[in-house]
Amino acid sequence: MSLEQNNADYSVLNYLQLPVVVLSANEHKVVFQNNSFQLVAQHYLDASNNPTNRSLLQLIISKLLENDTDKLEVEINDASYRHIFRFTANVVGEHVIVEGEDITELKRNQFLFNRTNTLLEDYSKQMFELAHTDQLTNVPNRRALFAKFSQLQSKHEEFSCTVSLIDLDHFKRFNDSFGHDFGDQVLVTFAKHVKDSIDDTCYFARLGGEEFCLIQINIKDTFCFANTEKLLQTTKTIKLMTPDNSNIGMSFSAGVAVYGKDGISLDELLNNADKALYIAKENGRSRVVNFEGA
Amino acid sequence: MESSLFIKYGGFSRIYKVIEKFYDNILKSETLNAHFKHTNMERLIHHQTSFISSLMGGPDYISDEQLAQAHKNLGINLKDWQEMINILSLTFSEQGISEDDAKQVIAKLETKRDFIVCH
Repeated sequence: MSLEQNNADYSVLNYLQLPVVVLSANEHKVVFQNNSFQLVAQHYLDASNNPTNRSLLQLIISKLLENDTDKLEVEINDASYRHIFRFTANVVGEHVIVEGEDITELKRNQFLFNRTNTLLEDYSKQMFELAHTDQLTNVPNRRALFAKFSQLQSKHEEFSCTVSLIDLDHFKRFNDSFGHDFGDQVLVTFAKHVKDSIDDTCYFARLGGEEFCLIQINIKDTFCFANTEKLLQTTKTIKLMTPDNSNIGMSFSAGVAVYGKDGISLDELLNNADKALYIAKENGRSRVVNFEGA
Repeated sequence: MESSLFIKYGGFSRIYKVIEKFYDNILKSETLNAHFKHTNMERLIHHQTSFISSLMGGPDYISDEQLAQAHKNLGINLKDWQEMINILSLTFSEQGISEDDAKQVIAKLETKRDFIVCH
């Protein structure tokens, strides 16, 4: 078959916008190249990022046909002409038909999709943090506490914990005497003190107002009670400077409930710890009371 | 979400187009086009879009150390830098970024000069 005959056979390919070149399967000699391929090949030759000045055809033959790879991506940057083509080869009888798909838009959209996706994931994490963190004290909030409890309960087969419900003593008096800013300072100072005093076996959260919760996980009840007592003693050493430049101390009352004995759900445990807390307050505040003995 | 030039100008998709035009202009520059002879422009546009986005208040992208590492063997001198700044200003103007906003981004870019230009 002569080249002219082949050209006649393949001339219909000139109607296609995508670049197509037909080569002989054995020797990789050009049988036909459509107009679009010739245009792309010329841009490739002129392009600033063509390091070797070799032709597009040579590149296709060496990288795609002789290396027997599935596809070849070629970027062409000729100032105002920037396109990325993905060339693939198909053997049809004695010929190999190589066609190029313009994937410039696809690549751009893939990049934009990935970056936007990362952005959305980051925002989603930020939103999650905001929804689960107390804005004032920067410790977990009630929502986070319930989520954590549920996670711990389902994750550990032999889960055990104690729940200490902590209420700052005379907090209303702080607010009324020295203003809400001072009240906020009390809350922030206390939350920081607890965060600095506990380790990974504890989970501390603000439930609202001056009420906090400390969960101690998989530690013997008596140690947990002692730990909460110790926390009370160290809290009592904190001195705060009031707006009228006097020093003032703080303390808390706490009720403690034990997982299993005093309840299984967090609601139940908090409810019983609250009953113990009530007794602690009734008995003069600044003390820790177990629900069992309440 | 905090308001920023990144949001004002439509995020990654719009900034991507600005950066594409920026490199079209760069490749027309006789001073700079030699730097891009063997460069994968697609990858560069991706990096630059992320970098300029971060300067416009978008998500953080690259540390100063990484920036210095990426440019240390590229031989970019002060003349190249100034030409690049001029082309970026021109591109911003062509792409509808206001003069004040463009100045703001370029001022931020100038703080990165020592990590990009060879000494």
